Amino acid sequence: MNQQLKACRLSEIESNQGIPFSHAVPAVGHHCPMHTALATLQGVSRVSTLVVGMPECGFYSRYVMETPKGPNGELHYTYVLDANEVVFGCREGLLKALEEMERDGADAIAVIMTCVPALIGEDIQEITESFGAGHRARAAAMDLAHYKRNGYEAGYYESYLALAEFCDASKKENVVFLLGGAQSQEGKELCGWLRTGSSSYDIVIMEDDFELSQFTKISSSCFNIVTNIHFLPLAKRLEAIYNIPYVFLGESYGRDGIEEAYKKIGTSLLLRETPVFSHLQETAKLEARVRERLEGSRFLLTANIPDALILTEYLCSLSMTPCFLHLEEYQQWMKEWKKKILSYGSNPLTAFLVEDSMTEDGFKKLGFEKPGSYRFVIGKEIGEEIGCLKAGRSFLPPLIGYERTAALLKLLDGLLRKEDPYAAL
Amino acid sequence: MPLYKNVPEPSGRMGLIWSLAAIYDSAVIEYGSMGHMLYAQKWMNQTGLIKYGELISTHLSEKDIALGITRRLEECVEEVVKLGRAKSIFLIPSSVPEMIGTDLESIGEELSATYPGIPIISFKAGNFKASREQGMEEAYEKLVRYLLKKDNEGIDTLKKDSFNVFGISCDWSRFQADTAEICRMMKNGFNMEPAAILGSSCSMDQVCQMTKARITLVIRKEGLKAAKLLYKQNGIPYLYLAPYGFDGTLQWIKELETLLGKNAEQSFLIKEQEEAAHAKHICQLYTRLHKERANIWIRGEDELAKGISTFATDEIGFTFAEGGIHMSDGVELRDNPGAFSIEIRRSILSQSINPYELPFMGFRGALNLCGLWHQYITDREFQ
Repeated sequence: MNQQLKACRLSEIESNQGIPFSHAVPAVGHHCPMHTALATLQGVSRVSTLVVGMPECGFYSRYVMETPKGPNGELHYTYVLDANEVVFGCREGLLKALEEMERDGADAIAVIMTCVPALIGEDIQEITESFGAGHRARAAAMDLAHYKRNGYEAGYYESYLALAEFCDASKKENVVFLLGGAQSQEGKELCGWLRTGSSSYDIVIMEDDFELSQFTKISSSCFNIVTNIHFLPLAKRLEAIYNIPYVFLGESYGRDGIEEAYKKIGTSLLLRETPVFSHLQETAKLEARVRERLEGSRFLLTANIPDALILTEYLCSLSMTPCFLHLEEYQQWMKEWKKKILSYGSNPLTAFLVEDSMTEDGFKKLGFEKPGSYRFVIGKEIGEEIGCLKAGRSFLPPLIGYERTAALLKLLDGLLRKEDPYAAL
Repeated sequence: MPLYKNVPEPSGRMGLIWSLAAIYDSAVIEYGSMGHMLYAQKWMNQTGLIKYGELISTHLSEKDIALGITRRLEECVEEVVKLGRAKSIFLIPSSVPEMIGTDLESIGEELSATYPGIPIISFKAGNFKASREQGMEEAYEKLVRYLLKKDNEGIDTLKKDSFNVFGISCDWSRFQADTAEICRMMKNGFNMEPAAILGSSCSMDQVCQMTKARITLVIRKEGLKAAKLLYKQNGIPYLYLAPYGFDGTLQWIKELETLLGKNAEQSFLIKEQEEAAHAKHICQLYTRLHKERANIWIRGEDELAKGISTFATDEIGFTFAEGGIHMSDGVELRDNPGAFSIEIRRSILSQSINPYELPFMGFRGALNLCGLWHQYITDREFQ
């Protein structure tokens, strides 16, 4: 890595546009949010998609949606703007396309707007609203122009947000939605606890694959528990539109934060006393040990971790110092987490890391080389003397609460151990 | 209304990338949003090309668009040059810079002046109208134009008479095998070696040998403009003919003999003819015997479709109709399969890993096609 790293301090970042590219890019780039949106919506039964953009968007979208018809009658079409529409807009054509999709059997259509229609200022939101007024089928607009952001995270949360457009106001029922899944041990314990309330709550778990008809019942839920950050903007939207309160259980890795979230759930749903979750004690022990062993250590976060700021805040709370953060996106609702990191006196360099072959030398100027402190990276390995918590497309398994923290702490605890894999033989 | 229920047609930009990235020591730089290039890389990964040019995307932001800032592109080129990552740089446009009127050609010229030691060529076929064919045509033509510049002497490390091939590309199945078959026939038939092979695996040094070649073989019309230019400027004759089928390949050899002013090596020709004629005869025999199902349907109107179609109908005796053998790309064959389907074009579903598959062109291509068709005709499963 010979290039000079370009980054700014975390405190300077106020929006997506503020995240600089780490290098002058000789790299192929990353996926665009259209890709993750299609991948997300592929798991939602009975939702059709219409990609609106240029030939590349339409052609390559078939790498995700291989067939124009899904297993449950979903339609996955593409609308490629012609030269005329690039100048004069595509409103008329798009309305006709939506009508044709309706004729072909689509009920709910997610319209994915890519770079060029966004650039010409096409009001896709207005078009989908106009269409919805006079038709049986409903359409929801998603603005996924890639030039408005660096990463592809928006594809996830904009998809779930779009699904909220297919919901209608309905009478509140004793239904609790777990947004993001809860299949782990603690998830099962949480579900068991939710059933101890004075009211008999139905629990609906929304993970990667679900039915639209199941999802639309969310407008009648009395409470939402968010376990995956990709569902957080949806929960916020549902609170704003339908006044459905929510708790973001993934907002903290720290025991206090998790306890607080569980307390809020208990109070809101009038549940019995918060149970002693199986991983609580283990987390406390591990946390004390990790704090003792890794206090004063310095780390780099180079992988795409969707909750990078939450994770960093927790590591700061364990007296570790972040030297560099790879940040895909920065939304206004992330501000609190940034403030918390800054409150620890940490203000790491932050950028969208382009070069994935970054080596130790590349981080030399980041204060990463302070003598006497242990150093590690969350991402790809960068040197023999630097510890590594390997992270690529995924980092931790889909766990929640204390169990998730325990999994993280076990990884951190393993950093300084050089275990012989054959010791047990 | 440009609504596509299946896969939209490939764009001019794809035509550019598929042609240029085959030059494996090049860097293809796109000034535009990321995402496209990653998909383009996936396509190239699945072509079976072991090496291809480095695909680079600069990405761009709202600020770049609003203020017309092209610094990302300039810095990117600087890095590629500084790090010696490529022997040539191709700047390709994408829809957003086209929309805002970024003058890629001028930027290319400025960068060429800044870095005179490396070819920097900018291309245009990334606009809203350009088709794949236009992209390929521009890629070949611009490369020729660059090599014909006065100060460019080219490279001459060839030991024998040589030939160029224009028009082979990774949107056709077996494109590497077809290239190998053409090279085999040229070597054994005319004792010639390849100079520039645009569209299949090739280095920039090989491309620079283009002006030293004795003949240019144009496989499809997209390469014709470049070949004509090369003929006009350097007097290198060209042959626009794709060697499909038995008679088609013989005609191709005959035309070459005329253009090169020498006869093909007779011992090679006789042996090849014997082998192919035998397979052709057997295939003809069974096709006549099972006339009721000897239907073939080939999608497209390009040289590939015409070449195979002419061989099947005129030489073997197939009837051009649906229901029997269908030859197209994977997506089409998935939606409209025949009793026996053969992929002849690459699509997003194609995953080629073996460059040594049997070709469709040349004598061995004729043998291969006869073998495939004979398999269908004689297989009891289809009777």
